[in-house]
Amino acid sequence: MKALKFLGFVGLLVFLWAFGFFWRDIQQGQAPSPRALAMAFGAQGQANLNPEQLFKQSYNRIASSYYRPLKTLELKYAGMEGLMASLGDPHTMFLPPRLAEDFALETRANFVGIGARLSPDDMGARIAVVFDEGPAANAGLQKGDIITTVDGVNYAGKNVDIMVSKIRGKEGTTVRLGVIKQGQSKMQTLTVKRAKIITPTVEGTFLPESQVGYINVSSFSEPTAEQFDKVMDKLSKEPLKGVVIDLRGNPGGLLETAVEMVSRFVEGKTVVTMKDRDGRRSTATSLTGYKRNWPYPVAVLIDEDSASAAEIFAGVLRDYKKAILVGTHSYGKASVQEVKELIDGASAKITIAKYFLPSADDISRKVDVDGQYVSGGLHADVQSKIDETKLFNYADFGDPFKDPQLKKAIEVILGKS
Amino acid sequence: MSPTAKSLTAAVAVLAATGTILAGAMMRDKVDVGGVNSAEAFPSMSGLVVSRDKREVPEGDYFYEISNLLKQRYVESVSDERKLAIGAIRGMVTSLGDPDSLFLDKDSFTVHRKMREGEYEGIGAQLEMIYLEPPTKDSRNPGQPVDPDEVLLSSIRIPKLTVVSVVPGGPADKAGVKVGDYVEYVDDHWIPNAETVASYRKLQADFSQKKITWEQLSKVRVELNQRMKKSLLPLKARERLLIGQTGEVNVVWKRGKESITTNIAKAPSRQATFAEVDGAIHLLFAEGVDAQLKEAIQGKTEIVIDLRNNANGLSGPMQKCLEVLVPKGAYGVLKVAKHELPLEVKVGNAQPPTVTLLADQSTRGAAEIFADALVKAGVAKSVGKTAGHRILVEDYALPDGSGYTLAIASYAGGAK
Repeated sequence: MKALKFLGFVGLLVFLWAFGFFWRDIQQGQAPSPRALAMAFGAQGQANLNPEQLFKQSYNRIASSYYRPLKTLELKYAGMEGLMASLGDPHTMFLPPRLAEDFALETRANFVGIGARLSPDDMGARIAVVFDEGPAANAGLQKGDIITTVDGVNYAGKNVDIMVSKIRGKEGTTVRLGVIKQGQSKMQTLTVKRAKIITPTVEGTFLPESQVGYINVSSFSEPTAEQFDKVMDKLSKEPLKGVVIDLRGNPGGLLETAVEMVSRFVEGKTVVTMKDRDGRRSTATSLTGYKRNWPYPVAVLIDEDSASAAEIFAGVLRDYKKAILVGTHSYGKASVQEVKELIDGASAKITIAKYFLPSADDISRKVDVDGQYVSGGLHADVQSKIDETKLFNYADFGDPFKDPQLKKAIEVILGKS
Repeated sequence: MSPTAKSLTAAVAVLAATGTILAGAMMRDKVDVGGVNSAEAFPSMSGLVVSRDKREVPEGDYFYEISNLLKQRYVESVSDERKLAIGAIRGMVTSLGDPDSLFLDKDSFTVHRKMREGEYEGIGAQLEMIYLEPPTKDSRNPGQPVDPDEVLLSSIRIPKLTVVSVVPGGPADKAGVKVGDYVEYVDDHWIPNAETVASYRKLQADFSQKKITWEQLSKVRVELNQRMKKSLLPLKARERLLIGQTGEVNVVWKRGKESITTNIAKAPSRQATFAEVDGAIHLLFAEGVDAQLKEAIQGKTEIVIDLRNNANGLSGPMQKCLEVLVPKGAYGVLKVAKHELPLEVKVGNAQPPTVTLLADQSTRGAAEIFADALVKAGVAKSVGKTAGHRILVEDYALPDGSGYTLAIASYAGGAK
């Protein structure tokens, strides 16, 4: 009798334990999930590990047996990076919190900094662009100046991204920069106050010699289409013979922005057709009411670093015969990604659809086993390359006399108009 | 039973019951996402995505959630979850940035396992990535594709793909390849190496100190960019040299300042795991050699052990061989993940023979530790300079035939 009572009590305890274990499922009004059951009763046998167990086994092994100190959080993130990379799609990737933040900043095109774009240099970082009315411009920094130190620390030979992360900071705080002005040899120290920056993604210049408007679009961010309108309004006051839209090095951005930009050229037309995993098609159509007047030829400059939204914009203009493409072939990114934010600040960027241009072209990039380009991308109507045996001085980028691709684009426009 | 005892029993029972529920719930917390409703979110989105709490997520849940996210959203159907798991393992191993901890594809792993048994293919040598400086925080992924700018301007560590042992009589040996040579070109592909990158970085420093002009620097830069265009990553080059039983490979080696060009025909080659040649015992630290060693030293007071071209030993067999040759005791310290362990001989051999060791730069890893322990035990006399890489490496197979190596200990407190 006593034994029976004891047994009953033990049984009750087991039941209560299970109740506790499955409480989360019960709360959600559902039967225990197979995964929960597997966790409670699943055998951890070596022979037939399920994928999750296989991963966990190696995670635990590396975390506990690797002989050097390591951070388990980073190990986990590295695992997730590898997991997503295993699909072989370069655009499906895991972004650990720090990178996820950078990515979000880029697409919003607004963050706190000094208002300049930096490019790598052997002595630190070279200022590639200074944003109008930003803190850097106010402090007298100019394109071509070289930043060698940040808050007294030398960053020569380090990755520019590290330097950028040190220059960024809280709004209203200051950063000390060691700067070598272009053409000088002595370093001077400037103190710059950080402020909220809305990145200009569109910059326009009127080239008086050729009477061509030169517009550089550096990415397709939230404010891009609006910035494009402003730049065009300003340029339209000049006696334009044509416009060059420079998308070289433009990595793309938001599909919505590409649609908005196309809407400046055509109304109510198909921009791209997207095909998702289930073969469902959806179409993005250009908006009405934003079309501008284009009484002169338009040339679009592309290179291998023009990708995604930039390729959509360029390809659609070509397909509707609104522009001539000049340069080299483009990158060849024909897919749409969505970004899912995860609870610890990391993100997962996942390719969810493929897109096709109005001409039904699939421009997907193909690479060989070493990752080298084989085919894909848009093909320029007029080919123009930068000589790779010489080191191109990026200060000459956008110079109508020294930039061979821009020179070609201007020739094309003047030949047509 | 008195009323007090009865109520006491009841109280204990209630406590036990409550405790059990809590234990169950806590257990679940341990194995599941902490407080995130993973079930509720599907199919709209996973639990990881929905919640905004900042907290650390257990690795298993991360795996589960990300795989599910891909299964639901990725443009193509994701059916092979095992492939995802193995991709994750590849990511973790690669992130260590450790030349001894490598993820190896099926072919590479098969070759690696056979090498441990003395069976070689390719050029019949062992090549490892040797770095000039220790790893730092941002020196990850040495095997990942890198662009020229990253290699030349960033702080990425670049190794030298170096010969650490050659199979006597094998193709590399016949072609005159020596331990310490490193690979500069394989079939016209440049292999980025530490020396070249270091010398470029020195030029950068010279430039910033105005010792050389921008033109001088960019001339070298352009030349390196051209080389980089036709380059092969060290891990890929290693595969090309070590895998395959037929075909010829053209290799340019660097030996000191000298470049040596060789055409090597790939062919199988072999090193016995245990052999007695001219009175010297050759052994590789593979499973089972300790028994052969024990038999070979029966009744002998003096033996010679040849540890040259021995760079791939396993720690288990090495320790078993120590048991055969040295008395009970501790011979140095193994530094493992979070603590130190003595390199212990539990039973040992109370009357060990005197050992003469043959060792050189090609004595590496487990073999080197073995030599040090013998010297420390007073069984052998101090040997010449060995490779100086006293690290124990294990390997683990994965179900698809791939696998990885993992450095599990470094040895300290060797021979004086």
